[in-house]
Amino acid sequence: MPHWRFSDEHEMFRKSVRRFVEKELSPFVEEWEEAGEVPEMVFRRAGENGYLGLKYPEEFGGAADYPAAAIFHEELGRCGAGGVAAALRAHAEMATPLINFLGTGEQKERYLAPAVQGQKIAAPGIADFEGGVDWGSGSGSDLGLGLDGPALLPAAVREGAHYVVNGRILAINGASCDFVVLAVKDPAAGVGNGIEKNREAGLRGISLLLVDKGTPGFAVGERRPMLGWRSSGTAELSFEDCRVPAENLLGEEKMGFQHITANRRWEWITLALGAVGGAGMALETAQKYASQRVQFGRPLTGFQATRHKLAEMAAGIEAARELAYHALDLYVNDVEGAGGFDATVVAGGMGRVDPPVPTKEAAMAKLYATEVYRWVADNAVQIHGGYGYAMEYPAQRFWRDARLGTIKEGASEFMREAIAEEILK
Amino acid sequence: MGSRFFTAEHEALRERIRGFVRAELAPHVDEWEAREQFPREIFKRMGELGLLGLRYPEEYGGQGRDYFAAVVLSEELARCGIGGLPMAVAVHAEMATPPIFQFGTEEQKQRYLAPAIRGEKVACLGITEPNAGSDVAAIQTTARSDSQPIASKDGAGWVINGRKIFITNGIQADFITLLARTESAGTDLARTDKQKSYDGLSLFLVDKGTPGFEVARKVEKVGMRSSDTAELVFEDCRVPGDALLGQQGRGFHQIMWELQGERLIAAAGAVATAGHILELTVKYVGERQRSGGRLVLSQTAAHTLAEMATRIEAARQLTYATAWKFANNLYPVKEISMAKLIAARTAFWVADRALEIHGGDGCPKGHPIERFWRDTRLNRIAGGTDEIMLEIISRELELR
Repeated sequence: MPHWRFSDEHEMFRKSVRRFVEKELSPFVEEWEEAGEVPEMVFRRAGENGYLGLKYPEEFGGAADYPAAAIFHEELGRCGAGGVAAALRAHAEMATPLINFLGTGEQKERYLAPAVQGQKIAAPGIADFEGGVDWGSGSGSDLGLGLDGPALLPAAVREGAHYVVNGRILAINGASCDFVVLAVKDPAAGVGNGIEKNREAGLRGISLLLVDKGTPGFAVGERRPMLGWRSSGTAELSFEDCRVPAENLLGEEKMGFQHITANRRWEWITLALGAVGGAGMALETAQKYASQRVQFGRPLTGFQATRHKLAEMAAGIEAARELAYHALDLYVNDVEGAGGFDATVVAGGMGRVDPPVPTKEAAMAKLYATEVYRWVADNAVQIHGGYGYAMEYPAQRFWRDARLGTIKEGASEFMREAIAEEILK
Repeated sequence: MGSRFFTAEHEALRERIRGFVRAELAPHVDEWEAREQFPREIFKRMGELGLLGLRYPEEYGGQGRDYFAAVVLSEELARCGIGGLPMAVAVHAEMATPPIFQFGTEEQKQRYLAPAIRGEKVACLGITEPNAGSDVAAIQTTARSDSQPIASKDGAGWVINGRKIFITNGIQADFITLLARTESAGTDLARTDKQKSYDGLSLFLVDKGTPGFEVARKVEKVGMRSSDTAELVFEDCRVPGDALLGQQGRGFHQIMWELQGERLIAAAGAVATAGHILELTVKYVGERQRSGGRLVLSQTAAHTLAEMATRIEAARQLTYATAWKFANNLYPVKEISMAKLIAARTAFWVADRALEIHGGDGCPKGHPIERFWRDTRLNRIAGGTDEIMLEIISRELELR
C-alpha cells in the first residue's frame, strides 16, 4: 500500500534491498554470529549496491536521499541478526556521516569515498555503549552517547604535527575496521569523575581523529563477548603512544562532543527503524511457527490468545514504524533546509557544552521502537514455547538482539529524561 | 504538528473551530455533564458554522473539504473538556450520515443528509442490540414486508420489530440509520449458515415519531454523560418501501464499510483527547509542582509525562498515516483497526496516568481529569472493542 512519505521509486528500492537482505545476508547470519563479525565482502557488496552512501552527495556515490537510507536500515533490520545490521549501520550512519559533515576534501577522498564503496570499513570509536564498564566512573547512558564525561576516552596530546593518543575504546567493527573515527579527550581539560563541573569542562575538550588501522601503537584487542549483536565485530581498540597526523583531525578541535551530537538524531532514527525491521521479522517468524505448530489438535494460530498476541505485536510495530517515519520526515526537512547538515542541533549546540536535546520526535521514535521490539521479541519467544529457548531456533536471537536497543545510544530512561525536558520547558 | 497533512486552509479551519469551542462549548460543559445532555441547538449552531458537513459536497450543504478537515474537527472538539459532545457530533457527522451519502438515493440525501448537515435533523445509528454487540451478523431486529412473513421487499413497505441499545443521540435524534434483518438467517442464528446471516441484513432510514418506534429508556453511563444514550424499541413499526437505504441484503457490508470511517475518526478523537489531557497535566505540574519558582517534579512523574507524550505521538502518527491511506481510497482495514486499538488504549492509559499525577487534585467529581478518565474508558469499547480490533487484525494477518 502506498505511503505518504515514500515515492514509487522508494518502494522499488525497498524491494531491491529486501532481496539483497534475503539472498546475501539472512542465509549467512548464523555463520557470522559464530565468527563474531561480518566479512569484508558484505561491505563490498553493500557498497557496490550503493547502500552505504545513499544520503551523501552524488560525488560520493549517493543521491542525497535520506529516506532511502532509512528504508535500507529498516530492511536491514530484517536480516535476522542485530549484529549484522549494527555493523553496516555503525559504518554508514555513525562513522561516515561525521566525515561527510566535517571532513576536508582530502579526508573525504581518503576515507569517505572508499567507505561509501565498501572498500574501507569504518568503526565509530565514539564511546558508544560501553562507557563505564571498568574504565572509570559512571554509567554509560549519559547524553545518549555513553559519555560520562570524557574520563573514559583515550587521551590525545598535541606534539608538533601529531596527536599522541593513549587509551582504550570499544567499537563496533573494531575487529575488522580499516580506520576508526575516534573521540579523544584533552587530558588537561577537567578530567571528571562524575563531578559536574569537571565533566562539563571535559566535554569541552573532546576532539575527533581519523585513525588508520596499522598506525603504530594502534592495536585491536579481544572481541567483547556479548549477549547479543555478536556479529557486530565489537572489539576493544587500544592506543599506546599512537601518533596520529594532525591533518587527521576531523572537524574542529575540542568541538568533538558537538560534532557527535549533530549526528545523534540520525543515529536514533536509523536505530528505531532497524528495531522496526527486526520486530517485523520476529513477528513473521513467530507467526510462521504458530501456524505450523500443532497442539491440542490445532495450530497455535487456532487459539485466540495466540492470534491476539500476534495482532498486538503487529499493531505495536505499525505504530513504531509511523512514529519513526514522522521523525525521519522532520529530520529530512531540517537537513534539507540546512543544506545537508543537521543545523538545528549544531546551531543549538555550538555555544554550549550540553546542547539542547534535538527534536523530541527522534527520541520518541528511538524509545518507542526499541521498547516495542523488546516486547515483540519476548512474545516471539513465548509463542515458540520451549523452542523459543533453544539456540537452534532464531527466536532467541531476536530476544537477545532486541535487548540492546533500549540501552544503546541512550537508554530508554535517558530518552524519557530528554523528552520530559522538552515537554516541560 | 502534522504539517504534511494539514494545509493553511486546514489551519485556518482549526483556528475557527478552536474559537468556537472556547467560546461556545467549553464554558458550558459542566452543566451539560450534570444534565446528562447537551442542548440540540449545538447541532444547529454547528450546522450554521458548516461543521457538520465538512467533507460532504456543496450540493447537500457541505463544505466539500477533504478527510483531514474532519480530523481537524475531531482534534479541536476534543479540547472542549468532555468526551460526550465530540462523540455525539462524530456519530452524527461521521457515522450515521456517511451511509446516506454513500448508498442513498437523491431523495434520501435531500430528506436526511442535507438537513443533518444543516444541523436541523439529528442522526443516530442503530446497530447494537441487547443480544448482538460485537457480533453484528447476529442482530435480531427484523424488517419484513406486510404480506410475507420474512421475504424480500414487496414495494408496499416494511414492518420493523426489535430493540436497539446503547444508541448515541438516541433520545434527541430525528431519525435513525438502522440495521435490520430482511431475510431469515435460518432457524439457527448461531452460525450454521454464516453467509446467510451476513447477507440477510439491510439498512433503513426511520423517522422518530413513526408509530411503533419508541425510546424505551435513557441509558445512564459511567462517562460520556453529556451525550444521550438510548434504548430504542420497534414494535410493528411500519415504514414505506423507500425507507430502505442502499441495496437490500447488503446491510452487513455497508455497515462494515461505515465502521472503517467510524473507527478512524474515533482514533483521531482519542489521540486528540489524549493530547489535550497531556497538555492539562503539563500545565498542572508547571503550576503546582514548584518550589521557589523551580519545577520540582519527581523523575517518576517526568518520565511518565515523557512516556505519555511518546505513546500519544506514536498513536497520532499511526492515525495520520492511516487517514492518508483512507483519504486516498486505499481502504486500509488492518491499519484502521490498529489505529483505533492503539489510540483508544493510549487515551485511557494517558487519562489514568494523568489522574495519578494529579493525585487527589484530579479526583473531585467534575474535575476534567476524572471526567476524561471515565470518558476515555468508552474508547476501548465503542465502535468495536479492543478485542474485536485484535480479531480483525488477526484476520488481516491471515491467522487462522
